[in-house]
Amino acid sequence: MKGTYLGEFQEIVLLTILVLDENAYGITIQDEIAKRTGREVSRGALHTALTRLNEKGFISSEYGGATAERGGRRKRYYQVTNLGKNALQEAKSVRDDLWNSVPKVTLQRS
Amino acid sequence: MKGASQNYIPPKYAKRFLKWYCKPDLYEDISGDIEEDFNQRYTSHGSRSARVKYTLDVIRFFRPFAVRKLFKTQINISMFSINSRIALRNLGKHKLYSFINISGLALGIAACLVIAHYVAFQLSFDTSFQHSDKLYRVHMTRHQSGVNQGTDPNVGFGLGPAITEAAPEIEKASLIHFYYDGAIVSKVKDSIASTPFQETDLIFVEPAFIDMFSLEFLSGNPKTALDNPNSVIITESIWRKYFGENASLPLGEILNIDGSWGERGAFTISGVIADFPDNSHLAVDILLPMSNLMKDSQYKSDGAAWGWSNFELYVQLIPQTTEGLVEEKVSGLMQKYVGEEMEQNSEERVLSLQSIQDLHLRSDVTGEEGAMNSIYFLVLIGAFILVIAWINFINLSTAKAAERSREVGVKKAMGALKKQIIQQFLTESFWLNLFATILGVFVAFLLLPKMGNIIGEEFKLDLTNQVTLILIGSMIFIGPLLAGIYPAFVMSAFKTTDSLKGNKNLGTSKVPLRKVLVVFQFVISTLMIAGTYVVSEQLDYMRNQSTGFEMEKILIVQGPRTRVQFESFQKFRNETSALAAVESFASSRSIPGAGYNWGTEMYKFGADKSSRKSVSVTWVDSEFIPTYELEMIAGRDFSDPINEAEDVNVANGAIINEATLEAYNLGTPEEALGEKLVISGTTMPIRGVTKDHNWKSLHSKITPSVFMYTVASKDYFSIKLNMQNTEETISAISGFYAENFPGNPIEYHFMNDFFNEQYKADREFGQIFNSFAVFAIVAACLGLFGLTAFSMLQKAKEIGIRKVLGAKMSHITYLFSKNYLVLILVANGLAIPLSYFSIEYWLQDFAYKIPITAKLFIIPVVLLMFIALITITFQTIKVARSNPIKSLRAE
Repeated sequence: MKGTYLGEFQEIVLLTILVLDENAYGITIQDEIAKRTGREVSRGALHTALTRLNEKGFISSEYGGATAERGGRRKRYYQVTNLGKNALQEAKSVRDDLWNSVPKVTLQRS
Repeated sequence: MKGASQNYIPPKYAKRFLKWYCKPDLYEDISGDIEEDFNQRYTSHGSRSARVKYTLDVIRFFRPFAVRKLFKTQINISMFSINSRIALRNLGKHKLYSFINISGLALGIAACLVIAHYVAFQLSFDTSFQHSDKLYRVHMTRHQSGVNQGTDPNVGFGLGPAITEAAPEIEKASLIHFYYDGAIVSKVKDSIASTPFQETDLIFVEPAFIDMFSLEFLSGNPKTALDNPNSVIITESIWRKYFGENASLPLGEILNIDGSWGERGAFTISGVIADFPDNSHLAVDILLPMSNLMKDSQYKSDGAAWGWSNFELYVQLIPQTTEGLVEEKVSGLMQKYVGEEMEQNSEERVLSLQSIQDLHLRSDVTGEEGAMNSIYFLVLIGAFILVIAWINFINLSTAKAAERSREVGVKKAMGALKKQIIQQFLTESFWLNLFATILGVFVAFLLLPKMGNIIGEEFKLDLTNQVTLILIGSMIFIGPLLAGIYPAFVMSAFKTTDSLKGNKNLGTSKVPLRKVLVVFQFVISTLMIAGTYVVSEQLDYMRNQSTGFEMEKILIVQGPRTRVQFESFQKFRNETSALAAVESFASSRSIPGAGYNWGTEMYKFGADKSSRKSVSVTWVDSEFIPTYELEMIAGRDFSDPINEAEDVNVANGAIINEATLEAYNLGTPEEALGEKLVISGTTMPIRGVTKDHNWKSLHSKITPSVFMYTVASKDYFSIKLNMQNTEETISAISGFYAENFPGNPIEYHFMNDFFNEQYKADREFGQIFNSFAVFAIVAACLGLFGLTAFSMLQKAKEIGIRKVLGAKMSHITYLFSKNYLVLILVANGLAIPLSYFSIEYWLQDFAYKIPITAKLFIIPVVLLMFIALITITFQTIKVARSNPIKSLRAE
């Protein structure tokens, strides 16, 4: 289905938001991805992904928690919507399905 | 997380930039994120790193999804696109009109680009050295008994040290000495010389020259490269020429240099420099140390330092001083060193400085002034052509106004503002100019290499050139305004009711301006044609003017540059003279068109020494005067010379020209034979008088000149041929030459070619002028063509009715051509006095010039009338011949 397709990076972003639970906003997502995957993600790339996800309805966001460190500006916290969770599940099940269909022998490294 | 107290200030501009471009709903958290990151980084990596990261972050966030609609002028953009669509449709609808407009403009733009390129090249001369603005050449102006004798750059070598002593503001100074007549150069490897070449751009310089002219060393040490008198610096091209394309840098290799200056023989390559810039008044291929030249014993004698004045002197001033300040200190320097001699001769020598940047176009040197004029001329022509093209645009647009008045009327009735109408027509003008510029750039691209061929430079369109870019930019953005503003105002000023009523006379009420503009175009065209005509007439005149000696049949062979035995010369002469096609063989130290040998002072024996005047001396052998068929009006030529004498010059006496008679009050030719002359201190009898002849180009007047006798010279051989079997004869002569003067490549010309080579600059000017004149005329005619085509279209009905009522075709043609013919006549009336002044101005440069006769004006005027008439009648006849039914059927 066009429009609900989940790209690899978008999937990582979604998962990261889930991992971070209540504390998912720009910087923490960026840091978490860096920590877990070793990928330095630029802010632009991240926000492109976030915008796309938002358009697809996979995430929602709300403002909260201004700190002086941010020049008094509020954070935008992200949550994964049910739609997003479904998409993640679906992606996972597609993969699992594929994994299960691979004959064991082929996986052994020659 | 850091406490609230750690709050640093991010880069101001980056922050502002973010705020400017970022979508408002994204801005708050993004800027917050970035700033949070910044604060963390500030404490962990320090201020610099954090600030850089912040800026980078901001810049990298500039992505389509994050950028808000930056230009609030959405309405204007959509208006522009609508206007553009209308404009493009209009252009497509009126193909002829668009074609005339665009091609005319493109011609103008192409001409401008080409001219700008050429002018930029000319202005760039000697500006590329690191110290260009501080380098000066020393000039000397001589006055004899208060009369200015001219300015030249020739000084004695004593001035080099003297000038730095006199003015401490002179940081560096270098004497230079040209390798007059060139040298034969060959590569020597294991004592075997390879094929020799003739080189002309050799120059002796002092070590300071390297730094002053910021020579770029590819190899070798710039500090020491000229210290050894037998070292030589070569340019990259010379390296490639002698050592092959793929050779390694030839440091330490040997070049054999053979010629008449300095030591002959082996020179060790001590440096290879990048090629000397083409756009310099100096042409340098090979640099030799001045110390080598100075070894010559002639420079060791007393007074040599001021007597040998074939040196030139360049100085570099310290940055803190000015030209005037230094000039003040050095101008009287000659007084200090040779004051006594100057006083005896009642002469005065004044030194001055001229910036090297001015030497190419604004030289002070006598005979070189005025090069800037041709630049002004060209700029003017370029501007004219462009103006012609813009006038076409204005004329055609206003002519079309009537047709478009209905469109404007409807728009206005629907509530369009005047401003919007103006915008619409400016948009149209913009598109026209844009297309024209693209086409013009293309034409210029094709044209520049051709122009380069004319002046012998490699030219190609360089779109990275600043001048070109500015020009193209202004053509696209300012051009539409200049050309479009008037028509736009005319159109927008239509009264709604009038235009909707279909009042066709709207446009024509503005006729006076259009007429004025047409007249202006044709004034310029006439001027251009007259200019072209005069230049070609003058060139023809100079080429065909009798110079006073035989030119057609004389073959000039340059003598060998290396030292040769007199026997080899004799053998060559005998073998050549024995050829059936050779009528005579003369040798001389110079030939017409190659200058004189010696410029010195002379006075009549018995007169006061203060009556000295400059005179030019040339040494010729006994065959020279008969070979060139110079007419003797009194006395004898050198046919029966005395070869054994204490002073051969004095024993054989001098042969003078008529100009000398007059200048030195020698009376009639016969009376002069009894007189004597004191030439640079030596008293000499007058042996004969020749008729005046043009030793130099017809730019200059015939000046007093003297022939002296020499047994033979190896500088120039003049061989008179009977012009039968010429090719065979020349190849036979080449054979003898190679045999007798091994190692010297032969170089030969016919005398007329050689002499006319002096008019190269005039010829180039003529050709360039010519091509642009064609441009201007084509542009003007395009405009005229468009105008007539248009008015014919408008009057198609009138013509139809006239035809139906029985008007003859010739009558109709006359009726509609009349208006324009009157305009062209008026234009001619204005152009004639203008061209008279310009012709007179241009001809000032020539000592021998064509008289300004009526022919010079009548021919251009008639020619232009003819061209214009063809343009007009082409249209009128077409319409007049058309079937009246066609035009009358409608309505």
